[in-house]
Amino acid sequence: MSARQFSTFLVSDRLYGIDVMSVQEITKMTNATKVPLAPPFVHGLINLRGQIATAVGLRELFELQDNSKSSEPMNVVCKGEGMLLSLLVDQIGDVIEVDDASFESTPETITPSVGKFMQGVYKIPGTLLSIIEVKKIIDVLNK
Amino acid sequence: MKTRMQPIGSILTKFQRVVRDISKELNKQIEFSTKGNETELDKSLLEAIKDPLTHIIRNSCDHGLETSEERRANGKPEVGHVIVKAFHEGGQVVIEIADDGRGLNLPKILAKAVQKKIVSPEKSNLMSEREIAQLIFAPGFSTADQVSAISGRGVGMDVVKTNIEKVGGIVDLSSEMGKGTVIRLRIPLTLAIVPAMIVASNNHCFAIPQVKLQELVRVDMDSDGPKIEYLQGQPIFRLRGHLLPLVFINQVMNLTPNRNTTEPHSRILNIVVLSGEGDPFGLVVDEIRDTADIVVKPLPQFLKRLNIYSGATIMGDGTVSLILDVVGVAEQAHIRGSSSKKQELEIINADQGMKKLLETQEYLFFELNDNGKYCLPLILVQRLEEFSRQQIEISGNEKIVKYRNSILPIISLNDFLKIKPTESKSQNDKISVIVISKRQRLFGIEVNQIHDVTRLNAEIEEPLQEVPGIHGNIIDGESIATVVDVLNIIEMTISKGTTGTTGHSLLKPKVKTNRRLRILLAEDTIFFAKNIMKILNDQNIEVVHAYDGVAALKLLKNNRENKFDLILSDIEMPNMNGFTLAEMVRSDSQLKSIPMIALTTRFKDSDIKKGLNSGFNLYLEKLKPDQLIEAINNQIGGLVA
Repeated sequence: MSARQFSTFLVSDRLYGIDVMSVQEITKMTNATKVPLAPPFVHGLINLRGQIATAVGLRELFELQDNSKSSEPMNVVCKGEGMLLSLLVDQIGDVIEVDDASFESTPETITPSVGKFMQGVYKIPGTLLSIIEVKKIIDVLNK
Repeated sequence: MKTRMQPIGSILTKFQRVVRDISKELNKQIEFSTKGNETELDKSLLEAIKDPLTHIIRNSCDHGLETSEERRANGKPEVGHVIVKAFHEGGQVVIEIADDGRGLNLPKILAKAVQKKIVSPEKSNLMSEREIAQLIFAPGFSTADQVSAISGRGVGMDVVKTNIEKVGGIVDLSSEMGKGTVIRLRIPLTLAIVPAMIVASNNHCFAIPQVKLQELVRVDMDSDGPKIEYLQGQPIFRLRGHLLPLVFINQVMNLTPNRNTTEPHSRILNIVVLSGEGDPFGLVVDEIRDTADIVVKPLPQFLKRLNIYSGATIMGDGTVSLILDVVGVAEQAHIRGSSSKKQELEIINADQGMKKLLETQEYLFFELNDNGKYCLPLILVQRLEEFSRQQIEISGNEKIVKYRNSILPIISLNDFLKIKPTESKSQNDKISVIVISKRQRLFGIEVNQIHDVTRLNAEIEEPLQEVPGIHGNIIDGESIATVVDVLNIIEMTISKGTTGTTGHSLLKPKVKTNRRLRILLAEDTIFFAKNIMKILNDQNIEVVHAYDGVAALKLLKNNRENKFDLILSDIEMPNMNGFTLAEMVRSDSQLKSIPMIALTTRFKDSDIKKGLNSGFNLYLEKLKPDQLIEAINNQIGGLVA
């Protein structure tokens, strides 16, 4: 029985997780350079110690209706396909270790706007953890 | 840094050998020389330009230079020259490959491009010389009649261009027929560092690579100097006598101020003159900051796909700036290659279909209730009149007005096209009427307002959905106008019986034959051609359309077996007019028996006499379907019945 570790965070009060191995770092929101004419989920470009990361708002990307602005969005910086992707989330949670036994694939009823980024669900005590796959986000963006 | 830089001579000297081999192979005498061998370039760039450079030099030897015999015949020295020059200019390395050969044969290039379907025949008529020259960079292009081992194998200048552009360079080309061709490569000094101009607008900061930058112009709107003018609603600046189209970065990039700045609009404009693919254009920005050597960082693919940024960079203060892709910005603003220098109309062959046609025609523009732009060909218009509402009488359910001692039926285009009046419009007590003559009767077309007459060289796009009374759409500068098919509207109104006063006009004559007739129509004006074709198609007659006398004659000669029953021809046509066509037909032993009818708007006795002398059997006025059908009956009814 193997276990995996996920870095968790909240977007619109829902719990999501990304494999710790694909998370490079977590930072506070810094000033982003706006990209005119880019899709609305692109918050801008940020300078991460000399590297340029693209800030993508998960709320906009998941097309979540909740408009309550998070007071201080956090950046979950992920690396993939030769680029740095900074996912904007409302709140950072713990790193959770979960058992493979509690994994289930994404239920059919999940709205495609979120479901297309999901790898599956872990049943953890008291709540469910939706697993977001960075590669899927990049694939959708580049499609 | 220094170690990365190497003199370009290290690769140029290798070309001596390449050229010597080619000259032997082609049996041409070629002298190859280089200049500026000491010019330094980033090592990785040297590698990147080696192959494109080889290709260009081989091309210059093979296509550019003539054979010794040709050169002698043209009074040139037998030895051809290929010179490669390298030098620094404005933070870039320029490499010029010049030959003193035959130069680009622009008509041949264009013809080949049309043949290979790289450009459509319609577009080819509108291309400037510069654009035509650029065609040699199109994928799959080769004018070489014969494929040689050296060049002309289809992998050509397009690869050169892509490779040079991949490293941030530009390929430019100038040529003079008979004198030679110069290909100019502009290469950045290094790949990683690009000299750029930093501009700002509405708190957004952008970097523009200096390669694309021509000059900066500052315009004080309050001074007496040159100002921004508007041409058809588009901003234009006169730069040393040339018109420079302007693009406002705030508009094209949709930049909104971060804070609500209510300060009065700045009276000073900063124009950054940029060269894109075609002619230069001016990018108007709020502020020009500084020049800087920037380190280019790539953008993720999905942002690159926006096509307006070529990368990003980190500025001195740690903020990120986007690097503008000048060509993309021009496209975003819909500035394409120059189309100002229009080429003469070429012969369009008859077999190319009716769909999109090029023509110049005068259109009368007017307005209807919906404020849209409408127009109709001026050639159909008899007069423009204004009537007061009191003059209009209602007879039955039709509007009529007394006009020149007779009755003019009025057809309201708003009613016909079912355009409802907008509430804000107050009813004028005068109405504007376009008087149209059809079948020797006058009809008044009521419109809201008559604007002006414009000569347009535009293709009429047929609407996706066939709307009765609408011919299609036409592009007038930046806007689109609807072309109203006024003849059809009259026709439909008459047949509905809402306007027609006489019943007998409904009785249309029919062509009496025992088989399907085949008629050749030579007509350069698409409106008449369409009109005639519709009349004849309604009679189940096959119509083959030629756009001028030359095309008509070609069709006749190609169809000797399957002879046409009749030729209908316009008189005034480009390339070969109706008179000449008639003479040519009558002098051809096989064709001379085909009856010919001239269709014209001119109806002078002298013209008729000339027409009959040149071989026409009959002279008819255009847009008279009944007469036309009667005439067809008279000419060939007996023949085939």
